[in-house]
Amino acid sequence: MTPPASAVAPSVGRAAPLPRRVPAPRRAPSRAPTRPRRVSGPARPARAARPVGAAAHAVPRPAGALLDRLIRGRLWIGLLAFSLIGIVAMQMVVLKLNTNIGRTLTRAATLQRDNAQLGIEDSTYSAETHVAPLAAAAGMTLAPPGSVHFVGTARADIAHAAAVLSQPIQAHAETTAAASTEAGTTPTSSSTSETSESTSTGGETSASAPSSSSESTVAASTASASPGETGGSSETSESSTTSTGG
Amino acid sequence: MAVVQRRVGMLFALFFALLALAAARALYLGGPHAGALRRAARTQQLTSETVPAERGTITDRNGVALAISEPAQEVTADPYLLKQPLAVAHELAPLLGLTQAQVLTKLSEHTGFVYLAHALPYEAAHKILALRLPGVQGAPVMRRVYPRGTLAAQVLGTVGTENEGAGRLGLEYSLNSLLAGHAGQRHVISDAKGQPVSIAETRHERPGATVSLTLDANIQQRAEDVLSAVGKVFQPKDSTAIVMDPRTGAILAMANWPSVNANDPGAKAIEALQNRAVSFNYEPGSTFKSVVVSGALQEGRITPESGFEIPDQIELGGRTIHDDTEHAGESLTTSQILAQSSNVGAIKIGLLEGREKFNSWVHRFGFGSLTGSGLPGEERGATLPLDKYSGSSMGNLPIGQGELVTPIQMATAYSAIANGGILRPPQIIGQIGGRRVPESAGKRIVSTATAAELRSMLKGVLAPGGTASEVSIPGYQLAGKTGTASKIDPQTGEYSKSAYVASFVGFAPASDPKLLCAVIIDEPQTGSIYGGVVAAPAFGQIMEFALPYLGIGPG
Repeated sequence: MTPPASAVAPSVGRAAPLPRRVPAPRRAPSRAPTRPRRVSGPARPARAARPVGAAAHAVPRPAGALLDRLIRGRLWIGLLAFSLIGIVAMQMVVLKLNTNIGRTLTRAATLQRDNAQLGIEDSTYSAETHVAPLAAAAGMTLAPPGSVHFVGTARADIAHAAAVLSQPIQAHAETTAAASTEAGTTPTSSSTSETSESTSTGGETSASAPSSSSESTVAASTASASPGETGGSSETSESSTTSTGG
Repeated sequence: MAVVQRRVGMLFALFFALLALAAARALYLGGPHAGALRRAARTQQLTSETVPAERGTITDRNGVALAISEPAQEVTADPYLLKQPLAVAHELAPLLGLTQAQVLTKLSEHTGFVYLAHALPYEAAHKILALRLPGVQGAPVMRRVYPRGTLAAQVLGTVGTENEGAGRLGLEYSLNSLLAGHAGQRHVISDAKGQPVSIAETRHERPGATVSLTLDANIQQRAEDVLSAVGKVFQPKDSTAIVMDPRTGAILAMANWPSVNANDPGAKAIEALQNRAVSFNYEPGSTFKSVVVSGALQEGRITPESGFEIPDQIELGGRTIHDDTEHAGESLTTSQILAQSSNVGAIKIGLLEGREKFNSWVHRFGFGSLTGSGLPGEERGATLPLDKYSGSSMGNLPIGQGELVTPIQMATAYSAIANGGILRPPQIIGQIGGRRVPESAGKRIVSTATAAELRSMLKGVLAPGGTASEVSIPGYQLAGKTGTASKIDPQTGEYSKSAYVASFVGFAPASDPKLLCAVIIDEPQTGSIYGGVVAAPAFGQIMEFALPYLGIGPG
């Protein structure tokens, strides 16, 4: 004899209670029955009573049922919506990236062009043919042949220069000025700058009086080479060497 | 109720009709018209672009750009697509820098493709393309620019417009594989507005390497200015100057005259584009006497003080060779023979050395072979094989006749004397892609003592009584040798009485040379023909600038 459906169903409902997130049980039977429909035929032997409570959760659920519940659940709607929005968003991002790549390539080309243009300008403007007229307009001339001199440094000069460097510049300048005044000579600082100008830039000094400029430079270098000179002379020597050597 | 149902039915029918219409249209576009649309999409949306590789920059030793590439466009047109060629020509002419007639001629050609401009600067090309003229298109290319114009133009060479702007002459040609790089390829899908929505690089673009030369732009400029001044005064056929650091073989300047604007190489004859410093074969004349004396010194046959009886002329193998000026018989030392450039004295030293030894010294100094500079178009010169020596060969070979040398060979040989006896290949490439090119170790050809003796003797050439005594640089001691060689007259096959090569090779400071300069003036026409008058002052002017500029003291 076929048992009535109501006699089996409650026990199943108790054996596998649905989680709270699952839709209300009242809607479930109307949409998709969780159990197969009853068929005619001889009655199956009665099942052993299933464990209830915590033990019931340990029973593996078929994958089809999980998918079924997922599809039936509200989560699926969210997942589908998220996926659709994600796909569209991703497409948008890819499009945006491509547009950005396009812009970046354009910008790279512009920068490359600017860089080349600047390189050309740099080379053009640094040419002697460009600089010389500008320098001439500023009153500069090339140092006449023989006006540039190279001075050697003795060991004493290096030691003296190191000693000078350790003193405050202002104090040293005052000392030098005082020493020059006592000796009745032109302050060394001014002669230093003149010498430096004439050697490094071939400025007005050498242009207007090349021989005197040259002589003063030589004189300065000679003085620097002799031991026991003033700090100012040594400076002249240094500045002259630096400016010409550089 | 029936009315409502009827209206709903009509609305449904309307929507259904619209849907049917849309479906039919979709079928038409996706079916019969699909091919045309696909083709249109390919041309309008999908483009395959060649990304031109940026050609490597060539700089001097201080990083000054001598040759640089900038983006440009090849502007082309399809005359068949132009409906109003006259109006288009009027619009394009000022942007192309051509006359309206020139543009119209191009646009009137019966062809589907015509070049309007090769490698047009980007700004101008952009203005043209912005007009959106049907059939006028642009293709990105690189344009080679030489910012200093004529500076070292023959050394740098030129690039062509075809084959992705490959080098055609000079270093642009010989270093093309390094400079060219590799062009890239990319597929771009654009939207209706022409904005790229998808870019796929199928081949990455690789720019060419930056090549830093050993040339110094300022010394190069000075050398070119000096040659230009020599050109005005002596009006030679052409001239060349080489400035080298004899210690390393680094070429600091390699100037040629007449000058050529590298940006417009077509403006001058092809001969003007030749780098005569490496391609000019000439009989060296007296500058070759140093080779003879070096060999004899090294062999121990002579010393600087060895005395020779020098008659006015000497006869050898039926040929009589004179000194440059008539004189009574005199006694000269080896040093005086060099200082006064005595032909008879040099022949006597050559005879003392013997033809076999002399021949071996000629080759040991590198004559008859490439110097190894790597400069394109370098000639080997020509030396007489030993088995071809005649009875009179030792009468002209020691005085620099009967053999051909190049200016770079002569500068290299004198560098060996200047640096203490090591023959080192000249070097013009300093760095490639930021990596330093190592200098060659070279090979010793004469001892340090021999080189020092020779340097000391060569000081006499610029001293009072020497052939270049009027050349001096205050504070510096110079050394060198003048040369004045007759050229062979191609008409007669004899030495010409009017065509000469005046030359000077020297270095400073004489005791510890740090700079060498060779000046070769081919066929000076006016003024003088002597090396001591034409070439030596040019040497002085170049060195006068270069020595203090490089911070080289008197030594």
